[in-house]
Amino acid sequence: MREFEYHTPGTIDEAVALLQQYEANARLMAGGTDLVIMMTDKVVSPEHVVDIKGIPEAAHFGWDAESGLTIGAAVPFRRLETSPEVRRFYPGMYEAASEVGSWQIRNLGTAGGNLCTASPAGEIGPILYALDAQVEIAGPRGRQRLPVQQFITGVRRTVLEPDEMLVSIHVPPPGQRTSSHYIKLKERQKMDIAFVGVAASIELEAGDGVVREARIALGAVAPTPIRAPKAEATLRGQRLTDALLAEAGREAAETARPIVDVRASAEYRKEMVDVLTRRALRQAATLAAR
Amino acid sequence: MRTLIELNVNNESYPIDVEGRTRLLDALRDKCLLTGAKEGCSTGDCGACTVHLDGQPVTSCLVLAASTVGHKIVTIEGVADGEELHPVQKAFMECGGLQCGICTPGMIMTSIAFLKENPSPTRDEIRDGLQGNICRCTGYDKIVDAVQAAALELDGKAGSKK
Amino acid sequence: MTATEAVKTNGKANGANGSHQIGRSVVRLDAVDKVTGRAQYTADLHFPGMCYGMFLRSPYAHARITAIDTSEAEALPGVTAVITGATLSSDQAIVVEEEAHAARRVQTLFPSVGDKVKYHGAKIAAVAAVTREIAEEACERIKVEYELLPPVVDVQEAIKEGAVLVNDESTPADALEDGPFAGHPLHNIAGQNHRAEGDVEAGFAASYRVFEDTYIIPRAHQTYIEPQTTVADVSPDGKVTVWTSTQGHFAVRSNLANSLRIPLSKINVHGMTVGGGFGAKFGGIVDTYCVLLAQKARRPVKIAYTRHEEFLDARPAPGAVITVKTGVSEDGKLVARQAWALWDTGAGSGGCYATSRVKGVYNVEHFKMDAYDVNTNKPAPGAYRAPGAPQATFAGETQINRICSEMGWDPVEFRLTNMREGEQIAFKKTLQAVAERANWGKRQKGEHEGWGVAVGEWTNGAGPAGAVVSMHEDGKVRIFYGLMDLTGTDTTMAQIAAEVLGIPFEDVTVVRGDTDSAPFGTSSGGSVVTFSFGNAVKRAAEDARNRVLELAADHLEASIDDLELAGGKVTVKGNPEATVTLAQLGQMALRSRGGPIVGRGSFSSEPSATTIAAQIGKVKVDPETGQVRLTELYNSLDVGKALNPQSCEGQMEGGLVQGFSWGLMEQMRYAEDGRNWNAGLLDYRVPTALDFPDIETVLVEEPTKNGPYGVKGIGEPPIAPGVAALVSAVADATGVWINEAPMTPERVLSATRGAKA
Repeated sequence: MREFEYHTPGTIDEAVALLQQYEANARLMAGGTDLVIMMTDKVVSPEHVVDIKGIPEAAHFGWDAESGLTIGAAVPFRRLETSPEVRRFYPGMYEAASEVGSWQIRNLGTAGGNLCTASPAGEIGPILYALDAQVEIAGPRGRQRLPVQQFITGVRRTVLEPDEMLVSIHVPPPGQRTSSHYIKLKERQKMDIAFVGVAASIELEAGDGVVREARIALGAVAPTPIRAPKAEATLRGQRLTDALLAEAGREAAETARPIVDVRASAEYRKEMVDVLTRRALRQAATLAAR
Repeated sequence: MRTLIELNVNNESYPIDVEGRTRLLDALRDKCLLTGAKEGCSTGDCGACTVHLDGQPVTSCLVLAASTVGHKIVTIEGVADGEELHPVQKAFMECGGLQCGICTPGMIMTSIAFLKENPSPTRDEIRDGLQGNICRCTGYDKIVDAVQAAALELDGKAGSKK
Repeated sequence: MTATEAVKTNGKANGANGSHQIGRSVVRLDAVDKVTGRAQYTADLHFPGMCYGMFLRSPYAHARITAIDTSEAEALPGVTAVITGATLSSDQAIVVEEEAHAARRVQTLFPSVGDKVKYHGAKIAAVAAVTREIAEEACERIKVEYELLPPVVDVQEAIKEGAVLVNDESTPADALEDGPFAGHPLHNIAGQNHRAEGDVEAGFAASYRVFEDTYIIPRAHQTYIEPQTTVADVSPDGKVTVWTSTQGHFAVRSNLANSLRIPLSKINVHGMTVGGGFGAKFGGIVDTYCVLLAQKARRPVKIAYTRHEEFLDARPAPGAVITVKTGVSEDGKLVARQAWALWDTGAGSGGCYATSRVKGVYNVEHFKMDAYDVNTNKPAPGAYRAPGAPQATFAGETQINRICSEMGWDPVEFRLTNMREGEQIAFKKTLQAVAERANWGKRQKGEHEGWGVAVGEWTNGAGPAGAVVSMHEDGKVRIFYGLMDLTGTDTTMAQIAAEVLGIPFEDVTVVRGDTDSAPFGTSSGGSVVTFSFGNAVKRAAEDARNRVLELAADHLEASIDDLELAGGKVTVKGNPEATVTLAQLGQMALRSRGGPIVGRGSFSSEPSATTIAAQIGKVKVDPETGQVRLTELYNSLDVGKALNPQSCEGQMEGGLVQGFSWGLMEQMRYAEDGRNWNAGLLDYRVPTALDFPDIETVLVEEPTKNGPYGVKGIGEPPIAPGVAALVSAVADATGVWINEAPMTPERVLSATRGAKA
């Protein structure tokens, strides 16, 4: 690891000022679980590391029925995993958060950092896509909110300029008869990386089990998390039968554009998108119907 | 750039000089000379370097030392009460929950934190709690025995075998 | 078989077992140090002025070095030593003798300009500097130019006509007459082993059915959690002192002497607490370089491998491709077995002899094997717990299960019918014990569930060991020797001494000496320790006991034959008043003509008897994803005599998990360009606690004549059957025999898919 200067800004404005001052020579750090490894391996060698854990706004985590969930950029996964509100209103996010690394890692690593690292295998991306989340960005030109789908632009790339930062993630409150699920395919039970990740959110019509709205997001099968719009359209307005699930699974698999790597072949990944999409939808629907 | 920082480790103050890049694991081992936390992988995958940061287990190989100023760190050296070993330490000894011993400090740190959150766990819950600590010697069975025995000792309640 | 019951059910170490100190699950002597963080591992050492050593490694699997320039590294402030092939004398090389496995390996320390690098991660240069960061930067400043060569990665490609040669000087091996690679000379052959018993051709001709299958198993890394680490210091008069993580500090001493041309008397090795070895820590890959750097730096140097380096450049278990042909009679008897094997020994050699284990523990009249070490562009292999046994047993035992499945025979019954019997062996009893525990005869399985059984054999080795047992003026005992305790053997030795001397185990202290102080001790590998050191310690304790009795006879004015030694005192039989305590005798001895009580014991080598580990596993397979979940595990082993039952169980369970996880998830991967593809713990998966269920463990005790109290070496056999049992369980669950390990989800799914199509 190369030496750097370590900064602990107390506010978002201070952090942005540091980024503005050092630009490409600076890296923002939240939990550090990705950044410390990347610096050790000299994948990145910033001269300035700006630690945002001490910024109250970045450490803020809250829920209310009006605005939904606010996850500050420095909130660790463990906070999401242990939040009764997350478990109740966003079960898919609970699943995704609890699938990250180990307990020790989840005490450090953050949803915001996971999103900014923008690894195709990241757990948090797909579920945020499925929950239609927004992100708040701060920079010298002020604040802006974006749909999360516009945030990640490629493998380890985001929309952020060198002098901008992620402040928080906002997840809208779930409607009635709405729920979500996330499944990560891996070899070990825990402490593994996603071969494929599938998140699904589903909203049912009152009474009859017909799908009003469905969102499906896939991880580790394209440079960024991707939605499966065709499968979503297939589900809309339909009763959730095995045949319909099979069709949605197939369509989601067609959407996937996976690569071959040490973990799995492209064919296997595609096929697993099918299986996991069906399973995630079924579970989300079961929860939504309760 | 070297700076003087003060770490609170095991309720004692350690004034040490570190660089920005100094990891908590290195600060503990090289500067505080507390070598109980072990380096097994440097990537957070093995758990041998687990310590408590404000009561929660973390892999100290992924934490910058400078970021822990003002926080409470507890290492394996700080869990016994004077000469009286922590019940989890005793249980690992008695149940054969250790062999080569290199994973043991991290395993015990995680177990202590785990039993605080779940005082009467099932064996499956114990296995889940230890997901971030790899042991290559025991096959885990006797480690699970140890955590279960410690739970009984600490809580007086039975965790069910299987 | 009963020894374990009490231990297993109450889980904890127990107290006195009558007056006996053996057969007790006492708490390990090193337990307090290990649960408090006090145990000293090599990486925990800090010396004034200590430097840090690091390596520059080849980014390519196969290349010729055309230039090395270290000048910029040497110019960097803080750098204290830079070494390359050019700085060494021509007679220096790594010489490693693994006495326990009868292997001697000689490797060059560094390729020089004009030489080839033969694997990704091969060392090109080493650097020492006052900080790790400077050492790292110095490595980056060394300029190396390479001429790239095509690599050979797969053993089945490597043997072909026209294959790229890893060792340019290698000559082809003669063509075979039969088998899967008959008909052409074999290339890249680094070693071979051929055996023939009976007449396999006649055997196959006489068989009712003949089966032939090819099994493929990848390289596995031992994955001890403590990476290889050494600290070395050299005094101005050339005396070398080494602190290192090793299974044999005497072996490290002789290897260093042979490698660096230093007299034995000029080397002292301290064996530190070892954070797991499993066969991989016999020295060579770190200690040799550390001494060279310390010689040049004139300061202590520490080299601690990173986990990444462990995967690039340690000595993992070789992979293998093994074809097995087996003939059986109509009534379920093994008639003939033949094996052809290619062992992936990378840039080194060693392993193919283990193909003989394909034969198994059965009466097989006709057996033949042709086995080869094959060079590829990967690091040389090393020993991993029962070296070669898991691979060969995977082939031999999986095929037995397949034959049984096809013929409608019960695999436990079939084994019992064919198992060898004999003095001091208990194959049948051991298999029956695990079958009973698993309720094999009445086993149940649901949809997508399956059972697998396998056995694996091992016969412990033996080696020279010396021990000194002294009794001090407190009547308590000290053992002094050169044993490297990997598995809790110090504790067992204390139990033996206590048993002989009639004192509680708690009254024994064990001291490990460095190589300058302790009597010679063989390395802790090959399951030799309890057998060899146990005999030495027992003899030393008996020697001390004789001296105690002589002193007591003198003092009590009685004949030695009339004395009884028990409970910390010597008493005249039938006269409880006539007694003297060991403490009194210890004090008397100081003033006696003979002086302090010192017992000596030595042992060289004696044959042991074969033992088997028998294991049964149950799995559940997800038919849509191919994911395999282990749900039940049963385990038995003939331990000869359980000196410390809890410790025996620990060995059995740990070994079992290593075997099963090799079958389930472990594999070192190499890309087509020969580069290591998964050099880290995220993609080289070893199991967490969540990946394995509870294990039911049964100890069987069939004593061997030459082991102390009948013990057999037990460290190694438990790893042998796991791959075969796991793969067979998956076959039972899916109906498909998958002959390539491990059972990754994708492999299982595609195999079951293929079978349906």
